[in-house]
Amino acid sequence: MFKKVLIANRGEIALRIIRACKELGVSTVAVYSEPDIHSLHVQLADEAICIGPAAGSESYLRIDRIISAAEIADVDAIHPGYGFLAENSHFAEICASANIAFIGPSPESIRLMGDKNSARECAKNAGVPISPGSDGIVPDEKQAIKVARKIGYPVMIKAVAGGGGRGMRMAHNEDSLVQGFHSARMEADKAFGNPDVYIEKLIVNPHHIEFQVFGDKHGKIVHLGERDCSLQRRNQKILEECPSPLMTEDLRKRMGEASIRLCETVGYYNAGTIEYLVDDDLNFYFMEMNTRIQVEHPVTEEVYGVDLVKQQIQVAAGEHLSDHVLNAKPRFHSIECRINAEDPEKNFMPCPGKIEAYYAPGGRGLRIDSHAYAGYPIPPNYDSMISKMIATASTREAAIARMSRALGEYQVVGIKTTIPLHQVIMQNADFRKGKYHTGFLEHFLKDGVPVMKD
Amino acid sequence: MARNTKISKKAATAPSKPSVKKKISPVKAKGPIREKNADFQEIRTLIELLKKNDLAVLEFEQGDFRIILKTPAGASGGATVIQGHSSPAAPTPPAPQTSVASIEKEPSTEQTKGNFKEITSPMVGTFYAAPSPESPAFVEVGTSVNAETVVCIVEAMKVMNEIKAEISGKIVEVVAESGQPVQFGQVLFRVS
Repeated sequence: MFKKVLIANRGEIALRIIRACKELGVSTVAVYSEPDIHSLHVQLADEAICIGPAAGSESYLRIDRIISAAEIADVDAIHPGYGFLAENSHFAEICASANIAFIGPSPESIRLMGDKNSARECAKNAGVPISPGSDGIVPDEKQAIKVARKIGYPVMIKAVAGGGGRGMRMAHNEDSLVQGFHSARMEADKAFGNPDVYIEKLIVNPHHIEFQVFGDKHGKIVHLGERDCSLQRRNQKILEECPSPLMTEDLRKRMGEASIRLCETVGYYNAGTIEYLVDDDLNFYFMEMNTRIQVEHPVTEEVYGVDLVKQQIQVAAGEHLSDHVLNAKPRFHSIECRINAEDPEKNFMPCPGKIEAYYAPGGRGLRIDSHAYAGYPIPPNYDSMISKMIATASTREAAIARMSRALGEYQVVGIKTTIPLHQVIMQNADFRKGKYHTGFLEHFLKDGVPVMKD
Repeated sequence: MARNTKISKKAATAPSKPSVKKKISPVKAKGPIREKNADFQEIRTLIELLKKNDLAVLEFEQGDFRIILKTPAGASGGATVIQGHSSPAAPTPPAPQTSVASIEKEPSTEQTKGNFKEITSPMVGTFYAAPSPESPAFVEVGTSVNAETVVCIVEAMKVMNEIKAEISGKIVEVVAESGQPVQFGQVLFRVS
């Protein structure tokens, strides 16, 4: 087992990783940007090293400073969390050359599956269904029109280096295709430094269902079921649940097997998530793979009774997948609500600022993964998620009731949060029936303001 | 808690009942009963107490007489609080236990900081005052520097990076210790 781990991240996931390390008896080193000096992960780590000013590009994305910090603190391994450098194969390679273990998959896996286009190729080769689409990168407008005509509208133009819902454009006809093609390329170039896009058939009102996979360095790969992440706003997940309300035993078996097959073809190890789109007829199509731990990992942990972050560290240290991961069976239902520092009444405008008073709910089956505390000044420079509420109960109805109860208790004073939005969702009849898809939220958000339904 | 180096040491040095939570607590010094009028000598003693113990705020109460003395750091609320320096513009990063030993000296010199400019580290690495173990230091107290003067080396990943002063003046203090790790923003030198 490692003696010391550096956490190359911030916020709630940095806290999550530090907790897992402490439980494993591993020393922790936090790296932080100047405004993050007030952050909880800096407080709880054994050591902390400032690596730059506020801007992510000058701090959490500075590979050189992070590696320098790792060297002066003499760490054995780096956990990249999610976002930032988590899916940067170059960073994983530099760690390897500096003799520091990268807590994640191999650089080749990251590179292969990180590029959406090559990932689709891998899926095809592994016999995993993919949605009809272009044969690789679409180089120009003329090709875009040709591909779209072949697969039929509506289509989705997607950046190969994209993520977090950016670099994507829908097109229902040729005009919007041409416009979307160029604007997607521009957005992708700005956000990811790579303008290349591919085109795939747009599945109407799809369900976003992802599978948690886990491999060790000894060739063993398992899946730990699915998460339904269909509730999204502007392609950003806001709520996830495990299991999916529309999953059947048979579908889970087929999707699970496909996921493992894909991992085996690329020799994948450590944590990963394979994202699929599922239509109303329960046909599933490979969308992309995330070669890291995900934000919504807690719902899988609660239902399958596993600690995925601890397992990540253990696998990176060379251990075999633990017995209880290998024998994990799903039990109970778990829902996660992402709480953002945003004003739901002002079109979800971000509101950083100081949390004046803070009371987090508790009680049976309620888990809070958050770096918030009373007096914490939320910096404006990073994403707006401040807390994850995870409610687990014996049935989906009980989990919804539990989440409603907890949302009512949660006090975050001094800033606006999306707690009211989640309260409305919990009361919504369609959500309670488990009938929702990725377009659902936009429907009842009129002008960005949640409309209370009786 | 492992990070006790970050907790303010200032309030703790004066005799008082520290108040709660994260703010610097004013020191309440209760003197013997005196006449009602304030004694000028008394106030001078309080000022000495403030300076000697490196306090940010000192509150003295005796009968009807009450005085609060604040240093510039205490007045601006910039005194060390539990998370470290409260001003984001010029943070004094907390000292991790083993890596960056020189940070621990900084709280005591905060009071004098206002008079001097600082040369801070633009990178993470190991500080070296001289180009090699046999050579003399790049600069020392009293050396005049300008923007282009190389003041030290910060070594990162086996690359020796020459750090320029970027400001002009005279070195009044060599804050960083040769051979010790430094982090981004860490004070290396004080310059007048």
